[in-house]
Formats: sequence, C-alpha cells, structure tokens
Amino acid sequence: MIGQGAAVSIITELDDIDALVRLYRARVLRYVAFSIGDHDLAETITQDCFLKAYSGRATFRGECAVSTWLFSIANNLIRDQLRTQKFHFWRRARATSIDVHEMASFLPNCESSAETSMLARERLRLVSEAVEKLSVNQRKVFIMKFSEELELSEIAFATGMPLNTVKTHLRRAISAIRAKLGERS
Amino acid sequence: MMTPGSHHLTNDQFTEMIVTGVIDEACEKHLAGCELCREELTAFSDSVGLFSTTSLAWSESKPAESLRVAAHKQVRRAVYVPLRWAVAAAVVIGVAIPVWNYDHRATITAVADAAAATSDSPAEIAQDNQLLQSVNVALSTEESSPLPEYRLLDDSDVSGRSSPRPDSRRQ
Repeated sequence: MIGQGAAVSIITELDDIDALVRLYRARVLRYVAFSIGDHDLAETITQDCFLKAYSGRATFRGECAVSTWLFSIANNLIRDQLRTQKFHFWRRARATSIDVHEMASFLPNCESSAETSMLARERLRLVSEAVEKLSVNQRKVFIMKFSEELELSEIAFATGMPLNTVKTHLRRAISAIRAKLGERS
Repeated sequence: MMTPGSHHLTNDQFTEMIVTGVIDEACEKHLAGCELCREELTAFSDSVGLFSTTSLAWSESKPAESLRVAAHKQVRRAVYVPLRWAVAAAVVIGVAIPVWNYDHRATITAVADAAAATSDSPAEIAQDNQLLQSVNVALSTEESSPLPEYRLLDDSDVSGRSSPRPDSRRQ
C-alpha cells in the first residue's frame, strides 16, 4: 500500500504523459511484444496502453506500482486483441514477428572474447525460441518474473490470475526453458 | 529430494527454487557439493538475464511516436473513418441516381416515341380526309355509261345505281 503523500506524487507523475512514456514505454513494449510475439501489434497496444492510462489516471488509487498498473492495462488490451480474428490471421502469417537475429545485435558488448560472444548468442537464441513456444500466459508470467522482476503477488494482480495459477504457469515456463537450454549441453 | 541414482536436483526442486527464490536446507547442501547443479542454476540465471537485458535494449531502440500525435491521430481516425464512408456512400448514390434516372427516362422516351409513331397528328388526318373527299368528287363526276345506250339497264338499276364511295376517315 502506498501512503497518501506518495499517491499524490504518483498522480502528478501520471499527469505528465511525456514523462510517463519516457519512463515506462520500453518496459511495456517489451512485455507486450514478447507476450504476443508480434512487434507491430505490440507498438499499437503499447500506445493504446499509455493513452488509456492517461485518460484513466483519476482511477489509479496507488494500490500498486505505476508499472504494475500499466502492465494490468496492457494485459487487458492483449486479452482483447487475442480474441479478435485479425490477430489470429496475422499470427498465422507471422509477418511482423520478433527476429532473434535482430535482437542478438543488442547483446551487451562487454569486450568479451569471440567464444563468449558466440556462447551468449547461442543462449539468447535458445531462450528466445523457448519463450516463443510457451503459451501466452506462460510468456506473460515469465517476462514479469524474470524481466520485470515483479513479485508473484504483483504478477497475480497485473494478470488477474490467482497466485497458484501464476506459480503453475511459471513452473511450466521454467521447465520448458531449462529443457531447451539442456539441449545445448 | 534428489533424483535417485543421479543424486542431482530434481526438476521440481530446481523449479521451486527459482519460482520462490528460496533455497531449502537440503538443496543448499546439495548445491554446495554438486558443481553440475550449481553450473546449471548459474547457466539458467545467466541465460534468462541475457534475454532480459537484450530484449530491453531491443525495446528501447524502437522509436516512440509522440503520444500527443498518437492521440490526435486516434481522434482523427474516429472522425475521418465514418466521414470517409459517408463520402463514399454519397458518391455511390450521386452516381447511381443519375444513371438510374437516365435509364428510366430513356425507357419512357422510347415508349412515347413508339406511341407517337402509331398515332397521326390532326393535321395528317385532315390531309387524308381531304384526299378521300377529292377521290369522291372525282368518282361522282362519272362519264356516261354505255349500258343505257344498248338498253341493258333496268329502271331499278338506273334509279338505284350507286357508285362505291370510300368512307371518310374518322379521327
């Protein structure tokens, strides 16, 4: 729970839409993009998410962090999108899916050796492929846990899932990724 | 519980450790003595960390459209899309009505022309009547028949004789 003073400062933070976008856009975009596996659609959903957040900022009561609140809005938009026929069509076409090779160009360059760099690429490829094969819910939970580092209770709040369901999805996601990484060794 | 035979962490133990972030006493002891399980845990953590870092860098590289512009676009979309449909409908109606009208008028004209072709004007009728009358006049001023001369006619023939006359045309 957030105190009254903190809640007021959060509301002020929400009033500045440009600052809000600057602060959270990359995280929301990553979450949406890897949840649905479509980059173009993720851009649209992320934009809609911020517009919704801004227009509904008065309803934010400070029960959770702003990022968690944004993820919950994004989740609703993803759910709506998944129901549409258009999404299923484009998913089959996979015209704008995220390219692992493109993503690999963003690997952190730590002045590592060629061997380490290759190993990192291979690991990234394996995790990306494993993530792609997870169900949408497993992906959501996985990204929130490992990329956003949210607590299980926060994930449950943002996704609207019971805590035990979150744990189940997470266990399955971890098993799948572990199995994929095991293919290498 | 360790996996019997292999004496390594089970998938459940491994997963539970990662999900909860809590390492129980038995697992901790095992990890302290098992390099393979330690390595696997580290490899998992490193790989997932690498994915997170790289995916965030990828996401940050995507240019953000100004939300104000996006909001304006959304408003414009909400106004212009129905407007475009309305204009399209107006164009279709604007084209369809004159075409229909033209076809309809052409049909009416064709029917009227056909009707006009079958009926004569009063002037033509009067002209026809005049012609018939002149024929009558011509017939009435007949030449004397040779029959009386040869006494071939009865009286009744003489008195009742009538020349065939064309009727006048009625309007």
